[in-house]
Amino acid sequence: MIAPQRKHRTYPVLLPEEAAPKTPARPRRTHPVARGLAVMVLVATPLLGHVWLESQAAQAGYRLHVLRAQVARLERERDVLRTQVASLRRPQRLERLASRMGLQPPDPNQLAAVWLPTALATAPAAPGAPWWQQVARLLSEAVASAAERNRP
Amino acid sequence: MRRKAVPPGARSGFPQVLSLSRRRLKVVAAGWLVALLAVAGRVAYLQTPRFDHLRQLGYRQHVESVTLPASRGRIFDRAGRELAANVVRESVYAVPRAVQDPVDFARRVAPLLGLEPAAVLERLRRGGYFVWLARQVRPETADRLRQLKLAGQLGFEPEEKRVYPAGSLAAHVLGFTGVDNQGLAGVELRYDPALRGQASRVIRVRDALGREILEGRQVASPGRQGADLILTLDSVIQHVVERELERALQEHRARGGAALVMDVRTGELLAVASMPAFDPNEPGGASQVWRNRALEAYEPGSTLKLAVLAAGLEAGVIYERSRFLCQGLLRIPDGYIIREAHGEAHGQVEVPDVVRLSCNVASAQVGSALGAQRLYRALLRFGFGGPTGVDLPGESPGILRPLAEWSSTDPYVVAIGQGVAVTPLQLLRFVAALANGGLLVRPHVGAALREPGGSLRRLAADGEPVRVLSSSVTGALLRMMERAVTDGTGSAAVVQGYRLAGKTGTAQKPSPHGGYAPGRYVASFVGVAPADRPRVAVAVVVDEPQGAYYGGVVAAPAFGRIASQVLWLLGVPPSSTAPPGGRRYGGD
Repeated sequence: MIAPQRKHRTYPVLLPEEAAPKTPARPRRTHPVARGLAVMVLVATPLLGHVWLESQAAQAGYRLHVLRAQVARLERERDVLRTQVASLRRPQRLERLASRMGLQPPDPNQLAAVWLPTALATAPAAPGAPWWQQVARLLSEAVASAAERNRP
Repeated sequence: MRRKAVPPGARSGFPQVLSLSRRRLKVVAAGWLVALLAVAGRVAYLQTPRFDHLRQLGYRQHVESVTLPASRGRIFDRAGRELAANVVRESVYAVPRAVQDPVDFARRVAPLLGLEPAAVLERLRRGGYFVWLARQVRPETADRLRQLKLAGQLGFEPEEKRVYPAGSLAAHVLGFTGVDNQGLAGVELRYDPALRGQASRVIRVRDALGREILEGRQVASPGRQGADLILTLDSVIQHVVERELERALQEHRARGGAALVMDVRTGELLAVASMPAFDPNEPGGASQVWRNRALEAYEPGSTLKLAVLAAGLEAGVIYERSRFLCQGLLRIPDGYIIREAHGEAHGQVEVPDVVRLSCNVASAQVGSALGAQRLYRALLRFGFGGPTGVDLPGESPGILRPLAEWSSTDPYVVAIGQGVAVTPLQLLRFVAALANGGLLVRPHVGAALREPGGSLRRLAADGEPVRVLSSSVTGALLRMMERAVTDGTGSAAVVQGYRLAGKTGTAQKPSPHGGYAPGRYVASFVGVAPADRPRVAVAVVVDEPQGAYYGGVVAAPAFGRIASQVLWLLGVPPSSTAPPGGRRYGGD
């Protein structure tokens, strides 16, 4: 049997190119010196920071030490001056100075008593009174309570 | 670029240089290795066998335990006037091992410290690294020592020194401290635990230059600063009392004396003076002047008649109108005779006259009427024969022999103030009881403690006052005492404007060989001011006055002067101006 032979015809087509085999990516390598430097920086920075802070603390300590010494010196001077004031105010000296100025204790005939109403005379001391006034109040309370106790 | 010419016959030069460098490198590396090995070996040596020793060495160099003394509390009077304070002084020490030429060192240093060179040499001979040369020297002395430029051989250590700005004022009350700031006498001793505080201990770290590294400091045991002490004394009243006592001693060329002022209601001592005085800044070594005569016992003489009469009145043995016959002398058991001071016979005397005339014969009869047991018990009840409990060290309890030792003459003799010894403070306390209606108070000088934080802690007197007499008896006795001043043996105490009450006393001093020493007396006066509204009790005792020796002549004028000035300072108006019912301005 004769049959017509099928004709084959080839048409050119554009086939996608086969992808070229991938060459493995070359890892990006930093220079060893740079890497070493980076490590050094990473390690050294906190250490240096710590040292710097310690040094600052020590410096502050020294400054504080100097200031404390200054405070102590000023306190010593204050104590000396306070003692001098107390010495200048001693009754023996004041009396000597007063008598040199012609002053003398009053004669009882020169005294006059001024009487106040009880309420006015027993007014409480102002708040924030110095400590010796508080002591005086303590003592006067003791006197008052003793007077009450002694009342027949 | 031209290549360097290679010598003919030579092989290529580069590998040769490279080989040379490698050899050098190897040598250097080997050197480093050896050095490193040496360091490592040294480190291993230091860190293993010598570790503990070196660690201790370093610890000792950089770390130290220091005791920081607490600052001693200050002392104030009741008005806030400073009586004792602290200043920093430098103490001087030597380092004997560092002294090159001890003789030259002693020759230069000793005169500045007021020492003999031999004394300095003696201390240097002890050797070691530390020896005190002088404690708490004056700033100018320290400056002059520094100018000697003996650094390393001579050192300075700051220390607190106690100072008393008012000098000898109230010296016997304040007392003084030792070189280590410990209380040795007076309130400095009595309140030492509170005043001294508590030292703290800290661990200090030092750097290579010896500077302290503050962040290294640790508190090993916390301390406490000393509390301030506030006294009941008033500096001005104290000065007045000391001035008048000294005047009395000078006028009568007396050996010594004491004077006290007490608030009759509370027992607060406003002044306690004892002569001869001393400067607590330089107490020296004469312990005789440190004696506080206000706390020492003496035979009271007639001032004790007040206690005898009070006992008689309280017991109902006598009454105000009871009469006694005074013929100038009284024969008592065992052949003894009690005589009047001037030998006069008072005739018929009533009880008030016993006080006014200081009649020995009548008082002895009261003692006899009371009997030994009642008299003894009454004296004990009035506070004689035992300490008053005042907050001052060295108080004598007086002498009141046990009843079992009393003889048949004792009721007579004790009734005129002989055979018994009391302190001026005991007598003052009893008179205060007469003035306050019969309550025996506890005398005290400490008012309050002020803690470093500023809080005030009142020093409460121990226990409540004890009633020992009824107010009717005390009122009667006060009237008698007032008559003794206006019209009796105490008339020299009279002052213008104020009503005073008191009693004189003149007593012979016992002889160490038995009996009484001829020509040696104690003159005294004890009383109350003002008599109409008693505020203070005052006692003046003068030891061994020359010439006149009666209490009415020697002690009474001082009493009057003290009383009038103290009343003025306390704001008590003259007795002539009676209060109309309101409260006194500036008064109590």
